Amino acid sequence: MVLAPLLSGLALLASPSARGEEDEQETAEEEIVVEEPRARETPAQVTLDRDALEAFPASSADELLRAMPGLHLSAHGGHGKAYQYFVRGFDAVHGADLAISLEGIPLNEVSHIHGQGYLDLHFLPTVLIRGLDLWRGSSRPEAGDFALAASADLALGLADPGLLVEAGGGTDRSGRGLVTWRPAGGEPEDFVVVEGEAGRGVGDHRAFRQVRLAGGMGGWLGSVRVRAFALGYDGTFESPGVVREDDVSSGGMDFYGAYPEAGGGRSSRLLAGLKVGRSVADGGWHLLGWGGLRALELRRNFTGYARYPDHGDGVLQAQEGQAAGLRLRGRRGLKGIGSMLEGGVDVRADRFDQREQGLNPDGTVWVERVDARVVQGAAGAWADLGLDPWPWLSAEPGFRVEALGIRLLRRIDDAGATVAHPQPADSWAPVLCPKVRLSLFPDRPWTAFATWGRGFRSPEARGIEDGDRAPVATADTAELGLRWGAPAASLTLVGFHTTVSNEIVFDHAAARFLSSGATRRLGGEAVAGLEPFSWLRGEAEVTWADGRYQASGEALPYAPRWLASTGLYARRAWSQRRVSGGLRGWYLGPRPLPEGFYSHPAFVVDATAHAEWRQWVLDLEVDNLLGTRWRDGEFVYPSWFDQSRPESELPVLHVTAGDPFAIRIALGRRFS
Amino acid sequence: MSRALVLACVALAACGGESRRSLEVPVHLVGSEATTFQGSGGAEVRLERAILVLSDLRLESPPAEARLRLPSPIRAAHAHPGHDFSGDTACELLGTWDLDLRSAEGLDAGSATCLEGDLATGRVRLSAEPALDLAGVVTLAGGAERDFHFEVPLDEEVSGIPIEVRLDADAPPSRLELAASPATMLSWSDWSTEDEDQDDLLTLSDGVLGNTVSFGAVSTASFTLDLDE
Repeated sequence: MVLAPLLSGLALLASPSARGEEDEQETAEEEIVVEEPRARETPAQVTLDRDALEAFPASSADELLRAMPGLHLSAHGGHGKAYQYFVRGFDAVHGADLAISLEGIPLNEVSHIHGQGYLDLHFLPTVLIRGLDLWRGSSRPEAGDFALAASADLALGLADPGLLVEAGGGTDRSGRGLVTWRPAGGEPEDFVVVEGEAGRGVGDHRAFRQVRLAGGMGGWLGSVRVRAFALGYDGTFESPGVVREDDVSSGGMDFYGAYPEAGGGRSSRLLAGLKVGRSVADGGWHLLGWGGLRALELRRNFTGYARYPDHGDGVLQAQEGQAAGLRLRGRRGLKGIGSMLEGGVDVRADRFDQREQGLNPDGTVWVERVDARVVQGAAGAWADLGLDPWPWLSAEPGFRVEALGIRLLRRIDDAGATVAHPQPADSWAPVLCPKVRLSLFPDRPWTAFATWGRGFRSPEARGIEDGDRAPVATADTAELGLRWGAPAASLTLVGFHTTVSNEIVFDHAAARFLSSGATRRLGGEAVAGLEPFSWLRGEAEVTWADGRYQASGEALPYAPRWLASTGLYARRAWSQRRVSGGLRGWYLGPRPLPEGFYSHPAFVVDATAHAEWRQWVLDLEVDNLLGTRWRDGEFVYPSWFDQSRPESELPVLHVTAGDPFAIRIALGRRFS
Repeated sequence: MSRALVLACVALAACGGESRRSLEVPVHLVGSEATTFQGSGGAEVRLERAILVLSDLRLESPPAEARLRLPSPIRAAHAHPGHDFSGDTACELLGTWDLDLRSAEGLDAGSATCLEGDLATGRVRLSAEPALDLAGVVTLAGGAERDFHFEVPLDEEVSGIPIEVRLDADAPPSRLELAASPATMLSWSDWSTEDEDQDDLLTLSDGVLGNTVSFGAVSTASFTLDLDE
């Protein structure tokens, strides 16, 4: 009911008929773009087009997110499991504090069995990512659930027309085949992509296989642009898990080794979207309907036999479900007061079954821990008013309001309280997130800006109690910054402060959420860019973030304090030739870990190159150019993998080896 | 350029924290020098045999400190155990030792591996049949003497033994001492209890001795932990 006036207001705002027929006739000839209306750029925003993405070293869609200053990701689960994300003092685990969307479709999976906001981008062919917008902070009204630390949106499209057939392999014992097709005269949104990858990886227990299919098309229905796309993915993978650092240092385990109990999994996804929209010079509207099927099965054992000496600590987590949603966006210039009003409505529904089982070493199930069916829904609306009252001031007040509803249909939880019959539990919560962005001297080379915004994270369904208000986590982030821009250089300095009013944690024994108190993050970013020639671009960035519990001052574990990167990117094109490439090094400083430990620092350099000559295409990717032996994942806890030795309860360091040096080459041919 | 990069990395690394260090601490187990002590009801207890089988000594960080080490704001994630509570054992010596509680010298059990920081409590496992073997003579207040022999099978952990100290890897302690007191173990025993099987020997099957001696053996009060600086 609350949303009804908003919806009708938005429809009125966005509807061309509201402007009158004359106006409509005029603006029909003014259509200049087919993209959905885009919000104003913000100082904490990074936008990469296809050319920039092609030159950015990344072996998967997830790794493109490294372009966001202050973001680090870890692939400790092998090729197929979601990455672990760290951003601005948050350990976003597998996506809990980082909201990612594809053409506006939210990709984070709510209440996922493996972690809230589970974010797996393996289903996306990198060749199909046409653009990437990255926003730090939570001042963007459009961003909804999980946008506590940052958010991003990926745009789909195939850059080059014609048929491309490409195949290659790498020293990491991997192979890849790719076929793309875009009809001559077609738009980037007209595409067919088939991609297959398989490999054994360097080291033990790292094999994987992935198949991706994608198709899309667009066209006009009168003055309305219609676009449809679908993506399918299936992948299996082994996960090396972790090895004890003391086993590696004693020579009992290879750095790239794996225990026999290490896990793996299978991931499948089908996602489809239908977009209709109309953009005109002073605004536009855009409607997206989407739906998807998803299945994930994960096996893991990070502790050996420490918890269950008789069976082992192997765990199977599985989730299968469907999701669908609607997304409406509108934008309109308000003549006379020099402002722009943007707004939108999002509706999402998820339904899924999830289970967690204890596994014997032979893979058989010895205990059922979780068996739940969840129906979860969210409806949100947002608005953002861009005001330019004076030439020296730009102000954008905005808000987002969201209503969350969760129904837990049945459960058997790991506290041992078995529920024999379906026992529904219902919970709901409203969320209001005010936002504001201010820019001083927005048209000058030096611009000062300040932002404030609240982001939120929905609770995990398995932690709710019937009738309770769902415990939503909110984070308030304030930013102050300066940006200097010149034709060939730029510099952005940002300071940020984030408070999370009440961190909530899930207690396995009690099977419910517990409060762990208020936390804060304080940090700063410096991002410098240099473009001495139109074909050459350099970037360097440093981020510092310090996260602590407010009451105790204790450091929040896992999240990086120091993260730095520098990159050199080049692209030149001639009539029948094209060369692009990038060289990027990143430094990850020591991270606080539980039990008073710190992780090892790492410095890794990756490179990529792409060359086209007439109909021939050559792709080159180099992982870890310097051959650094670095630790991708580091965790501290007690474990017991070798039962011939006494069981120790002392917490020790466990590591997952980072990718070693590897070269992958692919050769392709275009057919017009 | 590369030198500048290396220097920058070193400078950034210096801004990071230092991991909690580990240290080795020799562990000494000791009983009671006194073989004769006062029991309940004015009885005088004289030990002729007193063997305690101990295993796996562990010391723990304060619970509050451990609580503050919640590893992630997103603990709801089942992603990996690093996101669960990691356990708060900070010092550990694994093994099994037969300790003669009448020996003033005690025995060296080996070196415990410890992590520096605050300690609050300790625990040790009593797991053998018998874990406690006590024999001797008790002289009651009236002058009567009674023989006793308690063979106590146990499979329990004695937890919560207080030790409020801080371990510093720069100033490691010379010794950690775990003392077990047979006097305390037997302090709950009623020596005037009836010899139910009339075999002229007090055993666990007589009266409530089975309960009180077993209780005393696993009582936290029967053990003390101390660090020698």
